[in-house]
Amino acid sequence: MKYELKKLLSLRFFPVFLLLLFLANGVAAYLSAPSDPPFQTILKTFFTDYEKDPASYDQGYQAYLWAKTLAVEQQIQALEKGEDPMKYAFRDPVTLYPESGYTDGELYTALYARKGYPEELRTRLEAVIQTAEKNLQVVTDPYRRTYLARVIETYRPMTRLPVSTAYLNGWDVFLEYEGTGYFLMALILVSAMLLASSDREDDTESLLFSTCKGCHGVLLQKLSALLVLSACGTLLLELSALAGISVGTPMGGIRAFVQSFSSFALCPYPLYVYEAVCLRFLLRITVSFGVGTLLMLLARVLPNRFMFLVASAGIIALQLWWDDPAVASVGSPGETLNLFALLSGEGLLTRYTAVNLFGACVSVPWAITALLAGITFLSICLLFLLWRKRIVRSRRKKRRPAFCYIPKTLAGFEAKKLFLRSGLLLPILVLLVVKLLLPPPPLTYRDRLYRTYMTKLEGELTPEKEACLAEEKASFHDLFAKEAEYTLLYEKGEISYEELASLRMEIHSARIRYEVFLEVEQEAARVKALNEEGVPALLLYPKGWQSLLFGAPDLLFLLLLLLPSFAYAPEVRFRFLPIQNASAKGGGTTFVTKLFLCTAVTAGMGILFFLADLYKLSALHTLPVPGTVLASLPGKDGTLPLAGCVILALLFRTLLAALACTAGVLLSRRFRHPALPPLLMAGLLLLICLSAFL
Amino acid sequence: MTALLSIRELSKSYKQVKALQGFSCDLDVGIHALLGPNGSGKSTLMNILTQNLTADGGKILFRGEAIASMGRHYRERIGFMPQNAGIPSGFTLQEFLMYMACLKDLPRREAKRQAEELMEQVDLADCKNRKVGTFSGGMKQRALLAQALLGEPDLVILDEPTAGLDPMQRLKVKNLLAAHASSKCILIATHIVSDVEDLASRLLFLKKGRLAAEGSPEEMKHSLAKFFWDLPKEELTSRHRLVKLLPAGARVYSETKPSPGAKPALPDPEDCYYYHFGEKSS
Repeated sequence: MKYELKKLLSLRFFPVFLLLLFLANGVAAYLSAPSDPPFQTILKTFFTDYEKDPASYDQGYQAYLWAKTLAVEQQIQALEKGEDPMKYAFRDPVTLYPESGYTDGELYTALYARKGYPEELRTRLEAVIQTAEKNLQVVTDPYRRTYLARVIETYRPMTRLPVSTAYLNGWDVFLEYEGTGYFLMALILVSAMLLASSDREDDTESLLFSTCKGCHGVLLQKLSALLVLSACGTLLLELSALAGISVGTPMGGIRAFVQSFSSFALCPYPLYVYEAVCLRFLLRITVSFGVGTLLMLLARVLPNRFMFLVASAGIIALQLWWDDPAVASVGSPGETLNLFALLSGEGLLTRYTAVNLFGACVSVPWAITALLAGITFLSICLLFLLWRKRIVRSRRKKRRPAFCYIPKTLAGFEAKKLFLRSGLLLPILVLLVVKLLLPPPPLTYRDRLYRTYMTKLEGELTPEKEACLAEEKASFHDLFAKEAEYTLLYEKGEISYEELASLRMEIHSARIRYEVFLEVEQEAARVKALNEEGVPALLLYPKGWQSLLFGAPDLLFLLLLLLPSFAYAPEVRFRFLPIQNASAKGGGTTFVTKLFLCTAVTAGMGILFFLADLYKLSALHTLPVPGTVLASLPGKDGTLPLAGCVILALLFRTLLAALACTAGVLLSRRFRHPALPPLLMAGLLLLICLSAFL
Repeated sequence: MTALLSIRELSKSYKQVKALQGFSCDLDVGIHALLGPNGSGKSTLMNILTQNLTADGGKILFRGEAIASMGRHYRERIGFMPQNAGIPSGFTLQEFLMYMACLKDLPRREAKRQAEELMEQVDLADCKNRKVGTFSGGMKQRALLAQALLGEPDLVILDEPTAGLDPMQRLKVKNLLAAHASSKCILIATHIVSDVEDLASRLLFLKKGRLAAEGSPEEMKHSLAKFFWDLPKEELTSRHRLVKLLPAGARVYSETKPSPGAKPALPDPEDCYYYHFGEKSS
């Protein structure tokens, strides 16, 4: 096992990659912490001083409250007399720690919020129990009934849990910080890829398999190395996160129940902070090892690293999709058992969760255990079955003559070598199929309402449409006004409680629609103002256009941009580079040919992806007239037609593809290790996306 | 008359290691064998000659013109077969040779003709539609040799061309190279002296990045004749520097007559190799 680890660490880029991961995790953790470290330091001191003499601080707080109340009364009196109330405005004193500059109010608020927290927690738990008991009386679904019974059973004892009121800050940030999971996945992805395929790339497999350990012995060593990497990687990432957070926030004590933090108030297990940290640590090691074995299997089965990266990205994208609360339904296995939920320990630490497995209510710890055990066991079994087969299969390739078309030009040969013989065409086609079949993200209820309104109002803002809006607004106000009337009638006994409850439910639903309506009204007012300025803005449903032209980067297109970093992979893999370089066209001409091919494919596919998105947009609702100006989109200015924006977006994509291909092909030519160019390219793209996002 | 290839004071270092130190020689039409142990700088020299590496100092002239300024025009005139090279396994043999012809900028018709001819010469004509990934090691070597000769280059650089070949195949390769020797300058790097013994018109001994000796096999033999002796078995003792055992005795290295029964021996190229690289040499 130590030699497997040595092999990885001897790759020049791997230790650098690890170091960058740990640093990035530390920085990300630091940025996620509260942004006022000096306040946290003073707060900790305040808590400590309070414990020494609580009576005098309580007295001080009472005096502070009294002064505040007095100031408010004086302001009210000043208003009644017609005087300027600001003369009597309460000025928060800075008497507790004058040199810090923090007001007494800020410190007292933080301290007494903490002191009042146990009562708040108790109230919150009791509300959960009561809601569960109420729902249990009406729900008939067996899964839901079992779930609710367990919720009550779990949280009832928690109401008596002795939560701490001491300064505990820092540990909540540490437990809430999810970045470690993402960096851990990056580590496991790269490690699994290298462990599974580096011997094959170096052509040393047959040598290793001929030793007394044999192929299964070699595989066991690699699995052990993966386990060590999972454990050490998790430990170092956790430590870097802790270091990052503790720089910004002085850490509190760890011998307190995790329920002492409001974000973990509903944790179903009475765990101390250090126990929760250890539990999550063990969970992360187990998840990363299990996923690592699956990734090793993928790397083993797929013929090249581009396909592996595409497949892994697909798995990760699916996990991210399931992790999106707007997508997964509560209680579904995808919502609770996706990779990132597991890595963050959400299902164990934030609230009681169970999953609905064919009607059975399975609690999350059991579900996690079964899932991880299943994935790991299956992956390891398949690895043992397939580990040797790749070598044997390559020797037994069929020897019958193969028909083949021999290209006439260098571009033809390079295209054939890169896309057909190296198998890069398949993942490109997979990306295209996924792009075409991937449904647009589901709309929330509010989005659907907004879309309904805007689709009805689409086009020019006419007086009829304005009248329609005014009428709609009036109907809302009429409905809201009925609540007071009906309440009075109920108090008089003229209507029943059911009738009042029915109206209230209608009003509650109307309030949500009203919020959406106000957005529509605001948008109509904006368009009207623009029309008055001479800008021919139209009303339209903007969300699709906003995501198409100004939304988050297209992940599938970004994956495609990794393609050029494999441009020289066939030459490196087959040690063909010296012969190629020694030929007339092997240097610059081959480089330009590869660059041209990669750019043509990437840009072409990028345009196809964009057109696919445009097609899906048109399938959702009718497209506006081609001349619709950019100012029709909320938050945007200008009279550039949307059609022009589309053309610009296409040109931008083409330019981006050309630049990415230049970088990728240069990297591929420069670095001999086949894993390095795509990793560097992925890092570069990530940096560009982050900087655009920030 | 200008030599086909002139190398002057070539040097190349990798951090602390000096792979080549002031290497100079002239190469003309014929077969030249570059002999030296591992780490002597043979592959470095080959890679510099094929523009895979850049030398730290010195110059290389091809027909009197610096190859650095010739660029692709120089590479149009060379063929290269590196050691342990590979071939993209998805190509068939014919496809691979046509691809190499394309890289060498040969017209398609001419490329097809030469490819067919070379496949015959290296005995792979019946495998032309087979994928190279299914070839044995020896077949791959022959395919690589065929691509090196494609385009009728003036300079052919071969690094261990007979490695992995059986005796019959080695004989065929030697015959093939001999057939091309009259019109090409062929530089063969090897440490299998017997392969080049009858083939090479000139031997170049490379030692620690420098040219230790050069000359025709005959010149080398005669210049070192005074150092080699054949002893009868009974006169051989442990204090003699043994070069090799013979049926009737042993060949030893000695600057003076080592024993009464010793007779002067005409060294073969292997003995010359021993002289330059064996335990007697510092």
